[in-house]
Amino acid sequence: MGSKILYVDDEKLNLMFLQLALKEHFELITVSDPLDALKMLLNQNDFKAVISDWKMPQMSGIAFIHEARKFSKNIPYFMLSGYNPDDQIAQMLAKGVILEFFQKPTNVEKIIGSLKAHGVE
Amino acid sequence: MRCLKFFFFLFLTQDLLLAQKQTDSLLIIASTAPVDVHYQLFSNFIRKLDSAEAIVYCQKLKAQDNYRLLAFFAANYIALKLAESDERKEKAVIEIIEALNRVDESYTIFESGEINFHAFRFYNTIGAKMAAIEHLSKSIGLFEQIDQYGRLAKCWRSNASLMYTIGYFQNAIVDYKLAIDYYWKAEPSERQKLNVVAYYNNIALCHRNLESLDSAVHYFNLALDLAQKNNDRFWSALINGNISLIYMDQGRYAEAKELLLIDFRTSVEFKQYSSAINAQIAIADLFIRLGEVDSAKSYLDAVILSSELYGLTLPAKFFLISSDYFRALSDFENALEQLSIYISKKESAESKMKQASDVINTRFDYNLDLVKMKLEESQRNQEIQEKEITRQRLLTLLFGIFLIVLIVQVLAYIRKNRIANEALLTIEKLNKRISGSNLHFKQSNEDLIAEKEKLNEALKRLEKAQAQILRNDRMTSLGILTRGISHEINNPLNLISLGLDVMKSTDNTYDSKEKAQLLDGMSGAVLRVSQMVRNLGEFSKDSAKPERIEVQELIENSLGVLSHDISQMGLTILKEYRAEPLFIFGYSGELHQVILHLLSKCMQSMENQPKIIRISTFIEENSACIFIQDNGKGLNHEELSNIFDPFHMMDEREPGLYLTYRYVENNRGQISCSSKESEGTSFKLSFSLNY
Repeated sequence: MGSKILYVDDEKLNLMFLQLALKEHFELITVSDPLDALKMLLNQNDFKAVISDWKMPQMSGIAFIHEARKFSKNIPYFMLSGYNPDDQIAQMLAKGVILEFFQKPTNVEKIIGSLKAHGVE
Repeated sequence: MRCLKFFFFLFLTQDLLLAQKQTDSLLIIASTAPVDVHYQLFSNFIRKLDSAEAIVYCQKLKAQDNYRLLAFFAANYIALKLAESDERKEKAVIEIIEALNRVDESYTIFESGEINFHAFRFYNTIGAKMAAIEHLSKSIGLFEQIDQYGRLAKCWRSNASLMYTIGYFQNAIVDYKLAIDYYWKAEPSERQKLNVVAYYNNIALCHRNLESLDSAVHYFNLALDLAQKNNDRFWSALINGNISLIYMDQGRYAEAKELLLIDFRTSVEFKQYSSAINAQIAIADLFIRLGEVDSAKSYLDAVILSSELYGLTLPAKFFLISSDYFRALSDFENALEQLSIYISKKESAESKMKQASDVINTRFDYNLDLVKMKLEESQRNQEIQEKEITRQRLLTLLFGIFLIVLIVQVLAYIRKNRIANEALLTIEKLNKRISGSNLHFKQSNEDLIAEKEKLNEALKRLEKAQAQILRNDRMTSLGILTRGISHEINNPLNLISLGLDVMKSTDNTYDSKEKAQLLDGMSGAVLRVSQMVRNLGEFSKDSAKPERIEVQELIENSLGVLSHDISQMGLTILKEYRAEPLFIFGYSGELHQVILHLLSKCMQSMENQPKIIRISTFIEENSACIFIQDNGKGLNHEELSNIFDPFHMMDEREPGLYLTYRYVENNRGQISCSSKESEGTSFKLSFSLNY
């Protein structure tokens, strides 16, 4: 079994699909509320990476990642969204706050390749 | 007329040779017969004669100068029907456009109405929906002038079926009802009354698509009553088939099966093979739902056999049901294959998107063309002014010659009077003065031209700036649209892409339950994309001609495009729509953009919870009004007074509502805005009901 990765997205269908798609390679822990995701990151320290949606009703992915990095700074963060990246995302990428922005539609190979390239095995 | 009847009689007896001989004499009568007869004639050419002969006759018709338009029309219609190469098709299209341009030359209102209706049929055949709608609405306008109820019924029915094919079921229902009204007004014969069965049936189908099953059953029953009253077994069976589909939706399988079997048998009896095939597919679907897989299989095989037998292509639905069948057998490989055939059969979302954006681009070009035309006009004006100047110069020249002649005369006179020396001096002086004044004139002419050029330059700059502003505004509205929809398209596409990756993997990591879950999710995703593309259609509509638009639908379409943003923001929309439908007349694409702009303006101004937008529609002082109010941060005095100003920008990314203002003005409406800081902003649109 591969590393444990936390995946946050408000749409349950998205969670189910990515979890199934990556199940051979990673153990995807899915959660639909970024606040719950923050709690999980606080309580468990064995996550090797975080993938987050961008626009969520409770809290935007940008705010979520900024919050999470306050206490889980050493793991890589990725974003996965159907929206086109804007200046703010470009800045986060430039500063390394997020390592990659996966623009939907994407595919399994690309996500796995990118995670492995950033040392998530 | 007798000759005409004879002609048709000959057709009936299939004696084409004699019919040909009669055609020439018929053509002579045709010069006094009404347009209807001609059209009937042409239709018969198309239907009964083979292509070569049809074209020969069309050439003859073309030669008839009186009827060159209809002849052109028929010729091209046929050419198009028979066109095998693209080149020929293109030529046919060019000719038909040429023919259409002559429509208004010398025809009566009725004839123009008919011709526009034919144009509609033509464009509809070649799939040019916008042009089709344009001609149909012209045709309706013309027939309304002369109370041609029968024709109006036909037009509204066509409009309704057009609306139906592009998925605007609400519109289709309204149009069918209008068609029925007109049809009764036209006082049909008992036999003709049967046509209304089809109208009722189609209204019911619309309701079914809108998932209001009770209304659907109501209209199906109206249709069934009428069909049974006329002992029409074919229609009765067909409607029974339709009712059975609803029973299936409601899970009443036994009743559904009985009706479907009747439908199938009657379809075969009446040689309606495509509806027979549809009935078979529906029965297969039923068996799958009942879990009787073997029976389903035998019906699916039968569908393939009958489609080969009757040379029909398999309908898309077949592949969906076939995919369901394989899924029921847990054969996911085949299920996926069938599903992907189904998806490819349904028009791909991408090509529709491209079409939509093409239409937007065409409109853009169209607007640019307008600006170009204006510039050309101003250049023409300049040319006229230059001509005027040349004329003045000529006058000066003539005046000069006149002066010289006069001087010569004077000279002669002076010589005669022997005061030549003095006179010569005077002449010299005069000459100097003339050339001096000529110089002066030339100078002022040049000044004038320079001045004109400067003005022209300034005008050009102004036009450019204005075009630039409009382009920016338009790009912003395109931005609002694409922001909202890119997610709604990309997200489902992502599900399909991930799902396909899983299906492709050869390891046995996935059990059948997981695969079934994924397949369900994928077909849901396909539906989501197609719904969004449908909503989008409204915004990219090529509004060449104004049309009747229902206000509530206008608003709902716009909300549909923004739905994802609305739910992301946690926004509450309070709707206070007028109970009865409210129609306005205008350019659909523009009006949709107006609503979209106002809504997104409201959404951008939201700050604190709860975020609320209130939308109401009502009639006030004989105008249809739309009132949109938010509880956002509001506008300060300066922002409020500049909101419709073309050069005003709310901030860098967000121009004001100049384009919105222009669109409202273009649709003969009025817009007003009131706002209070930290309390909210409201917009009121009103459109006169006297269109």
